Amino acid sequence: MPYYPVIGLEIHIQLKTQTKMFCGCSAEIWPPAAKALGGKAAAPNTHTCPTCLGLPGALPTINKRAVEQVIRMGLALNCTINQNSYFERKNYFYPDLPKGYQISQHRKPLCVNGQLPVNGQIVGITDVHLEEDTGKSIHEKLQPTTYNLQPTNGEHTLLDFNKSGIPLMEVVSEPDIHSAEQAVAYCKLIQQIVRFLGISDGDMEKGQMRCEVNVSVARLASDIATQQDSNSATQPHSCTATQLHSKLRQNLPPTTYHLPPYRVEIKNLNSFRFVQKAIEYEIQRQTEALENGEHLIQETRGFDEEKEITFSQRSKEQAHDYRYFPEPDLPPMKLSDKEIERLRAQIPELPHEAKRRLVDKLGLKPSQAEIISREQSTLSYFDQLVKLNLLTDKAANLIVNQPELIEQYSPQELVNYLEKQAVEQIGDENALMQIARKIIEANPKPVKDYKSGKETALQFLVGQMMRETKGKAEPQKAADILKVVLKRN
Amino acid sequence: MSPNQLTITQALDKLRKNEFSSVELTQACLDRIEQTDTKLKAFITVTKDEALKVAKNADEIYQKQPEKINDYPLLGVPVSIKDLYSTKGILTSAGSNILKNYIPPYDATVVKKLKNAGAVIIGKTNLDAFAHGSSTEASDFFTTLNPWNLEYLPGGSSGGSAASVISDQTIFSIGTETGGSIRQPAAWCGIVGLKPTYGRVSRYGVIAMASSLDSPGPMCKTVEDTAIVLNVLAGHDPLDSTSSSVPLVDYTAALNQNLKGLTIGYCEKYLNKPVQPAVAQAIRDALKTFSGLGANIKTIELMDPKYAVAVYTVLQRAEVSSNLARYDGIRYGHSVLRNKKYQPEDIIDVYNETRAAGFGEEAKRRIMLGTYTLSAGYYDAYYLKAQKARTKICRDFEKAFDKVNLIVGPTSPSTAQKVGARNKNPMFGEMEDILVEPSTIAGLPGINLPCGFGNNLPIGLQIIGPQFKENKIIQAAYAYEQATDWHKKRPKIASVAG
Repeated sequence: MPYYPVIGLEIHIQLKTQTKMFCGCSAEIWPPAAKALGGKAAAPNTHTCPTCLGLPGALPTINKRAVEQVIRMGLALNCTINQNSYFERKNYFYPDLPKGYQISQHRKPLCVNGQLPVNGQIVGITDVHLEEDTGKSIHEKLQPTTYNLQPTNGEHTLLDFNKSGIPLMEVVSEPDIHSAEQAVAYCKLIQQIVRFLGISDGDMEKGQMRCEVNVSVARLASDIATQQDSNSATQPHSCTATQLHSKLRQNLPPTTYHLPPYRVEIKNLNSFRFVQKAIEYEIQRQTEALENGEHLIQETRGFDEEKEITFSQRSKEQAHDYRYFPEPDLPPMKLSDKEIERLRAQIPELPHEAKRRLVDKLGLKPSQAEIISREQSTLSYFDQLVKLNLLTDKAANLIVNQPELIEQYSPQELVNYLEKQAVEQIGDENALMQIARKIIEANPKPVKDYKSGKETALQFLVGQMMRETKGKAEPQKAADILKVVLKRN
Repeated sequence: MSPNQLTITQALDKLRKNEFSSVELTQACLDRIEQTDTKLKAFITVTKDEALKVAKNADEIYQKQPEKINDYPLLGVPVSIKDLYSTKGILTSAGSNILKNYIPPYDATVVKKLKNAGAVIIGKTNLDAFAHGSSTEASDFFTTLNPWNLEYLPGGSSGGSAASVISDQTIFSIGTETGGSIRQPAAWCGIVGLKPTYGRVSRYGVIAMASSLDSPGPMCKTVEDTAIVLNVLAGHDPLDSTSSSVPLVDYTAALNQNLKGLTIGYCEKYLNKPVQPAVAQAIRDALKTFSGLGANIKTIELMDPKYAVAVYTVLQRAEVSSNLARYDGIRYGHSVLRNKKYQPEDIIDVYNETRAAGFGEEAKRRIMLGTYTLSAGYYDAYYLKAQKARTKICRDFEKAFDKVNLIVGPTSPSTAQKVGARNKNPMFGEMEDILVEPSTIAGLPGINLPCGFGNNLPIGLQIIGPQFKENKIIQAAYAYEQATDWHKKRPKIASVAG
């Protein structure tokens, strides 16, 4: 009996701002100067101040630029903007969380109720909100004498607060995704969008983009009706609103499904591959468990990157009560219509929009459009080629098949180069024509054979052409030209 | 008269006239501390060397750059600071064991402003740990005693500051108030204490108690001094988003204005039990004085203060529980990890051991209550409801201020209580602060003025005004002070060593 995967994603993205979210510290913890040295991060704890270290008495102030970037993201995802959004405190203890709470958003996130088309299917966006990143815990084995503190079993945890307080945007999706592939496509599109908006590099290796997936598997409603199943995929959380919602938006499964009464959250996935593997593993694990009559529970699981399996971290009973309450150190935000419209005007054409335009308006193949719209620089290159009157198909083929040309030339240079090449080609054709006439005159027997239907005779003539041109002519082209001349002959 | 007995105005006058130097003035305060503080225990830290250095610099300006004197409104004047303010390079303990070794790398905005005004910081004063209390008995170190009678409490949490001012250990002090912590100790010690409007003075660098209520403010010998210090402290701070950009006024301009046309309200509820009869009588007498000065006196209705106490208790504990989370033994302050023999089970064990040893009873009580009220399922019933009630209390005051310019009442229901009084009652502070918590909840400014004696201990009168009307409060307070002698009284502390 098939189970239907129900997947939602939470994607954390570090914003590319000059300063941190709530203090004046530089947020450039990957200094450009260090890029040449292999992208080395700044030395630990060099980008810190009383505020991002959580020193007694230090206070946060809002980085307005970060708020604007999140609003732009929200608008790009067709969200409604909460004009009286505010920050809240998310309380929990962890050594890399210096205040014992994270300034985040909960009841009034900046952006809500959005949607994004992914491969022709709509994925609902629950909210896009803004928070601060935590510091970094580095667990390692150390010599006990290295530091002044007691080691535990020879292991230490070192703390680096450089990333503490970096603006962190979280994009939360509805559980509208139903396969690992679609989840990866969604993640990739989100990454492309933040890059198009210029609000983050979304580099997963640097931790600038981190994914958490929520996976459960559902029974189709029709199956349940016929089977009187008592397992987990039944009532309590059957959410008709969601069903209806999804049904309206999607090419739904054969029939509707009930949202399962549990979900499994897998945290800290830092590559698209891991997103894919983790989801695939979970779907299989959960399906098998349900088929074996097991009862699945709400839990948080980690992902073992080497074994490519998930493992339990904590169950619902152990889940945190974050005790959210409005951050008293920060007044509520007030966002005017004018401000929002100003930000809306700053949103460029987005990758999925560009893709649609390339296919619908310019007649490109979806596969071509996909490649061209992946990066803004490529898209803009393509558009410039078209603007310079290059045929869209020609431009698309060049970009898809000869990316090295893009690297080498500016659009104008490329067009110039192509024209020159075309002129040379015409010259080449004229020369080949003359040679062809000469060879036809010199070989009446094979010409006669060819005209009487002996196709192999052409091969001899092509061979003569190749000899005459010292092998410079392309055999196919030589054959084509010979055929043209023979026809007129 | 010894220089340390002077007010800011008097001291500045004599410094300008070169009757004594700032070093002499500072030394006089330091001598007084040495003579009296083994008994009073107002100070946690005395910064003698640094103070004398700063005083010497002030003297340089007095002597060699007189044209610059006016750039420094507190040039060479000693100040004591509640040990809740972050002071760069100087121990900042919050009166707590968990921070008993914490030396901050930065100055609070208020401290910076005092330094820029030329003030000489002579030390950090005692308080109830993390300002949780109304007596200094909740200090993790020791209890400060009331200079008027050493068997009595000075009030709190800014009790060390109040005691240091009335005993002439300093010229003035800086306290903080969340719910009475400036006004109540000022009342019990017989000094002037101003709690400004929430947001009028920056909280940056003040160790947070309840962030939506904390208000730094001056504690002085006179109203005029208070106006001078408020001029230095008030104003928007880019580092504190909750500080206000409402335009500033010159608070000293409010001095010497008469009270004709001013309407002062009072509420009978604030004079009933549990207010001591002597306290109620002193307030009724003060109302007569105000009337004699030309003010109209009017009775008004206000919400029973017990509601404000309930709201205050819920909101303050909630914020406290979150604000104290950062003291986890990981980066600074007391940590069980410093114990070489300690082998933690896990990180939770580190937190438990550190916080169990570092926090006192009161902090733990507040963390537990606050955590409870913010927990899933209780948030709506407690925190959210308290916020709604807070709005009602604000409206109640707004309505009152439609009818009157200012409200007068007792600061505390009683004169100072005996040492040990707080230990029996966890709600001690809330009962002592019942008459100041309503205005705190509404973010209103209020001042305490000495207005009499009962049981040979000072009685305090408070004047509450609408938001950002500190100038009106100062106007009325100054007029009252000029008409009475209470502010001139000083306790006779035996000049004893040990």
